[in-house]
Amino acid sequence: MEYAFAFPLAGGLHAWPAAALRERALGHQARLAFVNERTGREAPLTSVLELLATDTRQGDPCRILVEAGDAAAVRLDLIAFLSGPFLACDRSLAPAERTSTVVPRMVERAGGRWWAGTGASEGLGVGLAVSAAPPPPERAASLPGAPRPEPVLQALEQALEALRARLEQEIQLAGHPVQRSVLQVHLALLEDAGWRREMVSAIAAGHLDAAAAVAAATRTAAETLRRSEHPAIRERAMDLQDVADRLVRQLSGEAPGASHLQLTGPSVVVAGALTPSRFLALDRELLQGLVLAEGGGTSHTAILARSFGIPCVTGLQLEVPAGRRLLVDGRRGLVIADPSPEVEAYYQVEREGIRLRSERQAAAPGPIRTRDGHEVRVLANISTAEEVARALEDGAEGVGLFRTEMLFLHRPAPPDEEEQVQVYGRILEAAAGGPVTLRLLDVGGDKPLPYLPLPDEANPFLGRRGVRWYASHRALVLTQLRAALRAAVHGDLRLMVPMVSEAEELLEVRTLAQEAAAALAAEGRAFKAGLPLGIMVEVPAAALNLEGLAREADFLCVGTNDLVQYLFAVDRSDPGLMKASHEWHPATLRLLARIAEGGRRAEKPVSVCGEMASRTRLLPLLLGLGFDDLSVAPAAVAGVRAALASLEARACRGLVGEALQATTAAEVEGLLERASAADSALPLLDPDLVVLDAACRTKEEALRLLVERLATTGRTRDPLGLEEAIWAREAAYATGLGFEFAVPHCKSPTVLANAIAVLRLAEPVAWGPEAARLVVLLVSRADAEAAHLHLFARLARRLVDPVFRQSLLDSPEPESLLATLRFELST
Amino acid sequence: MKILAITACPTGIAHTYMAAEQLERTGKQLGHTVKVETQGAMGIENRLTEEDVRSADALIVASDLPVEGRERFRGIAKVVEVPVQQAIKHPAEIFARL
Repeated sequence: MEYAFAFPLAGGLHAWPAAALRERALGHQARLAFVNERTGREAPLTSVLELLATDTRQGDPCRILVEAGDAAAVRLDLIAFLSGPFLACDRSLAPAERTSTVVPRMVERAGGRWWAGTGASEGLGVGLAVSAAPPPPERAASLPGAPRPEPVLQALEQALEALRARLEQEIQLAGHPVQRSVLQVHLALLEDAGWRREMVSAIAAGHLDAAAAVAAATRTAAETLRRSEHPAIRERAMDLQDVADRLVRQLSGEAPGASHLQLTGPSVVVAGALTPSRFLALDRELLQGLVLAEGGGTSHTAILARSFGIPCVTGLQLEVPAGRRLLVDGRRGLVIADPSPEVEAYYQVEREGIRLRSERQAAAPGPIRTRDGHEVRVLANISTAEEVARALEDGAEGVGLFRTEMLFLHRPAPPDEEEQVQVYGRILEAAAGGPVTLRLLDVGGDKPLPYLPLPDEANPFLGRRGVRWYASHRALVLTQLRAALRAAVHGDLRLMVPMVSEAEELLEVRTLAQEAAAALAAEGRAFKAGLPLGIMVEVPAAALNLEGLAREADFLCVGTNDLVQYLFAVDRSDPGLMKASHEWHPATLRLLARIAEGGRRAEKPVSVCGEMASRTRLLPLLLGLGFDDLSVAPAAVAGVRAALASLEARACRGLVGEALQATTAAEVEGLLERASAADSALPLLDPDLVVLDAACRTKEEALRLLVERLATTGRTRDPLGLEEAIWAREAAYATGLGFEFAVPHCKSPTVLANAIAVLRLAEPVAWGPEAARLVVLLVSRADAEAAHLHLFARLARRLVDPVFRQSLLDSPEPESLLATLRFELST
Repeated sequence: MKILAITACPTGIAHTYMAAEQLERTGKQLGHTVKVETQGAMGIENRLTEEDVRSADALIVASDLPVEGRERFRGIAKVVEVPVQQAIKHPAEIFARL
């Protein structure tokens, strides 16, 4: 028997999924093989090394062959595994995004020695340099007077067994799931049949001792890994080397777990390469940072460093004397030698800002409310259970669109009922009680399937898509409905029919669902009947005759992508014809208004699941039109929720009222821009933007402090970019005014809301040729409206007045300083 | 004297206006009539007219970049050009040069 599927993981078949697959396979008696049709390579499921060597990428057509044993049961178990836990194997691998490559002015100006590498783990650490010795050289030579094979084999066997026990113990004690995963990969490598065979045959040939045999076998296997197309697989060569080193140390009788480096104080470890086990042996209480020459963001050492919050910079071959003080800036990939107190103070301000922001982000799950208290539900569009978990973490309340196509594409035969039950059940479990709207198979036309023969069409987008072929291929739809009804016992499932233009089409599906329910009842199977049945509104005819459809449908969901394509009669895959502005064109808005109104009149819920809902700029339109259920891409959930929280539903309705009178997309765009500019969600003045009597040592630190405040209060999401913009202005000439005042300012796209931030220093700092004790920072959006610019201008004029300046210098507290500013700006 | 002035700076949200204010205040203290045109982020404000030019005795240009409509002032004999910062920090010195 076999199971064919498209390889699902974005990272390809790397070590974690390979180790997980092996572990699952070990639980079965059957012989199991993995075949990648693209690379033509085959591997037993029990060998991680051989699985890695298949060089499998996402989307590769793959098969698992099941021989002997209870093949049918094993196959089902593997399907359940591959569509569930397996998908989670990819998660923690993604390297941290590099936020900036810009060297802070503070560091440049300080003039000390610094190096730029690649940030592999974010964070900031300061410690004394400690050099890790390179791993011991390989011993490849045979011993004089070659030993007899038997005792050598026995010694190897004992060492393998001892290391296996040791690894199992370490897995038990692992303090972090990532640490456990890495150790499990090491255990799988240790037990790899092919690698062991190589060692044994090297010894049996009679020329090598155990350690040399380990080295020889490791060289061959590591070479295979290094040839892989995937960096993530190439980097596993280091893991193999790691296991081999430990095995050799075991053979030589070294105490297990003995650390190669004893740290005695806060340290930054500098090494060419550091194997995961050597990293894990370090005292993490004292380890402040890592600087490595080798290994990228996907090396296990870097992944472990991220998990334990140890800053790490790679790609730097540092030769610094032990004991030199190093600062590791993992965010920018910088290592700074002997940082001055000024540089450290600057970084301390940044660290504090990051800590505050992550604290604020952690709070706030649940439904989202606009500023005027209007409740909006944000759901997610997903294809896999893994995406559900991610979306829920970001605040999604369920799944508004589960595209089932992924399960059906790239395979010679459709998934059978059991497989579908497993997959749908996983999704419902991942949704943890939240609603899941399953869209019935939406293929045909532009998405052909080999097992769904349809006539050749000149115009596939206008052809047999979605519900239109259901009548001619009832069995396929019936199987999906049966699977959905069975899986529905696990949660809150709803069914949705794509491409409906007439009520009859929906009624046919309802009849099929009843047929499926009757059959399941007759078979005595567990299932849930009477699931809500809704339609995608994506054909203009359906939108214009919503009254007729809404009577029969339990809910409506607007698919804006196809709706716009059919409304404008443009192929949405043709970038020359399909314009982004079609989404806010008055024609689209009028059709959407009609849909919203039709749903209200029929008292049926209406949601939007098209890409339009993921675009934060267009949310005022959807909200104003009356759509309170939005389903968006998982990656957009957090951003959409944040944007909704800053909107005012009343104002959005006013905006839509005007937009519906418009006659061109450009007019609507103008309205949107004005609305976003007038959006006073965040006031110009804010008590959190006034800092009195701070002890900053430098201009750099002072500006950093204000920028962190702007980021923490939501005025920017790009503090590093904003800092750069302010410095770009300072480069023209310093903004010190004399008389201890400075007025730095910038106009920049990194600014989300205009703001005035004030910092009064305990002691003046140098500001160009002048000194400054009171810093007034004005930040303006690139498209700042005249009203705010007038306020900036007025404040600038007032700063020329010595009496006004003195009142700012003398304000006893932030509130009184704010009151002075407010008074001046309002009169 | 009747004195005209133009102020402009790179970003046009702060220095332009500080300089304008400083020139107006200082001129008034010295007993002059001063009218300042600002060329900032909001465009030209308090625009100097042909009428202003006809009756003006002198022009101060406090700017870090070429000002717009420079040709309007060809008729004024007495012109002082300074960086915008100087108008903010040492306005009295500028008037002394007129």
